[in-house]
Amino acid sequence: MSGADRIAAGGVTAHENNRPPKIEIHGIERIFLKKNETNGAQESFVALKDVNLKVESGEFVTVVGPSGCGKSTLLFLLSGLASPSRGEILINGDKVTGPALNCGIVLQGYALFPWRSVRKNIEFGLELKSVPKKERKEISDYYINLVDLTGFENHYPYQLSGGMQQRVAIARVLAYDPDVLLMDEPFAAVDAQTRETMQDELLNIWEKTQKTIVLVTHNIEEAIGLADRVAVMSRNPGTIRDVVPVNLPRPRRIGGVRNTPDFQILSHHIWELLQDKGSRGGSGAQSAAVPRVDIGEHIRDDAVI
Amino acid sequence: MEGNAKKAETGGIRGILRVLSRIHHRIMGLYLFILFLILWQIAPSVGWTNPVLIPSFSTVLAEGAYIGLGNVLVHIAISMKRVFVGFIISTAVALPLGFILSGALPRIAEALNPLMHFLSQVPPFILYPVFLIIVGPGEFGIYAVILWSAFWPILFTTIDGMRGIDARLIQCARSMNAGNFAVFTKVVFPAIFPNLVLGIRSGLTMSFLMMVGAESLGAASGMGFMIRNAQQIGAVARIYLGALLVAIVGFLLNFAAVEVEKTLVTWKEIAQ
Ligand SMILES: Nc1ncnc2c1ncn2[C@@H]1O[C@H](COP(=O)(O)OP(=O)(O)O)[C@@H](O)[C@H]1O
Ligand SMILES: [Mg+2]
Repeated sequence: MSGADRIAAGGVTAHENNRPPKIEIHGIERIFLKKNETNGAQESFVALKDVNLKVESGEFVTVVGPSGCGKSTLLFLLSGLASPSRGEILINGDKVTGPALNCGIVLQGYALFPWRSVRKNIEFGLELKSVPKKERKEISDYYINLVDLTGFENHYPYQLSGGMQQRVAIARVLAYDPDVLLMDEPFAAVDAQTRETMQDELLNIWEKTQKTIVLVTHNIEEAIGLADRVAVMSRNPGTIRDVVPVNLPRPRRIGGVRNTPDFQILSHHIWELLQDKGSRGGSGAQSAAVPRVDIGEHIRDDAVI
Repeated sequence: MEGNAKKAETGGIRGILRVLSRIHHRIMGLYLFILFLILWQIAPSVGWTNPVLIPSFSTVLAEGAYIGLGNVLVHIAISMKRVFVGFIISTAVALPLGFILSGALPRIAEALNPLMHFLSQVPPFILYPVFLIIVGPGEFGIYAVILWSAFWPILFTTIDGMRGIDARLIQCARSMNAGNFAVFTKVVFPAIFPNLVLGIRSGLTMSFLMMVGAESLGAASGMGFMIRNAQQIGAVARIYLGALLVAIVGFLLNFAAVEVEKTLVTWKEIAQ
């Protein structure tokens, strides 16, 4: 099967209502055991509490929230890399008990295999699936072309720019071909211009493949620009504060919607949701609790990791 | 444009000069080496040093000719066999142990850490008399010294390498359904491969150095024996010959190991 066929076969229209939701998150809680920094005692830390969310098949949901609110933790649970302390996650109606073929994750940072060339990185998941060599090459060719890395097949990660490395990471998970794509701040470490190109590329890929995408970000503009719905998180404990529908036209390009009034209203609304938590928790001592989430282009590069 | 023409004109001479200077840079070390040999040759003959205590380079070479190239090579071969056998056994034990300790039994590894570092400080030569008492004179003591000296660098670099693996790479593989075996062969092993090669190289260098010492403690053959034997019978030139051979073989061994390392380790760590 060529890459194009696979995509055609995997295509599912976004709004088929008679199916169960693609992803159901029911009352998730995630507790970590942490060492207290002052007395060294073990204590439990509630990273996620009472998280509920349903994602339809083919839907693009973004999760926005301040750093440390549990976004990465939530994606880990979705991917099956970790299990919730309480509650359950269903994908296609089946309980998630571990990593599965129908779910792929792009981890925060690039996490490329430094000893593998671009092509070999992209073929990693295919090797694990024991796809024959010839077919692997066809598939990797297709995705190398898709993420615009033709000519760099034999380069190693250290020879690539940040944006290119990120595209390899995306191509690697696309080649693995899960129906559910989880992405943890995939564009946080690339410069503003590259970021917008890649956001549009991702929209393009999503429109073509109709995969279900859950993308984590701490950038409000990115959250709105990409999503059908934005889940806004707050911290202490990490939970989903509200889910905001985004009714901007599709197909969409970030540059085309960024300056519309609707976008600005959404942006302000989400910003307020994020601020609100700060004032609700504190009695006047607001500043310390205000989450640091940026509006627009001002992503802090040090926010990665 | 004119500048270009001029450049082309002088290009021939400049090119030659550039090639010469490049050669010059490459053999810079060789100049000093040759100078050293010349000094070694003339110092004893012009009376700067005592020719009995420091025989000239040609005297040392003549001693080699006297012993015979074949005999010299046999000593070298015996020494190298000891190094390689000891080193291979050591690697075969230290590598898997490093993997198992840090991969499967991290708690035990942590508990053992102080003990391992303590033991690694025990000088290898101490083992020789111990083995002499336990199993009597012979090869065991020599092998014990070689094993011991190669073992620790290999074990420690393996454990350090395992500790330094980016957890996200393993998570990435696991998220794609990789089992333990696939995680080991496709992530852990390639990730620590540069460490392994480095550890094995330093293990090899260590065992070579310690072999010479061990042989001079008590062996009937090998380069170390040659030096010790020469000292006992007062053949001064032969002592120097032995030292020269050890230096040459050690140099070649290290050179080969570095080249192997260069060809095996083809990727670099991403600078972050
Ligand atoms: N393995 C872990 N052990 C202990 N605490 C953790 C672990 N992973 C995450 N945390 C804590 O959980 C909280 C949420 O982390 P994370 O999900 O990475 O946040 P985000 O991705 O939103 O920045 C943080 O306070 C973090 O310190
Ligand atoms: Mg995170």
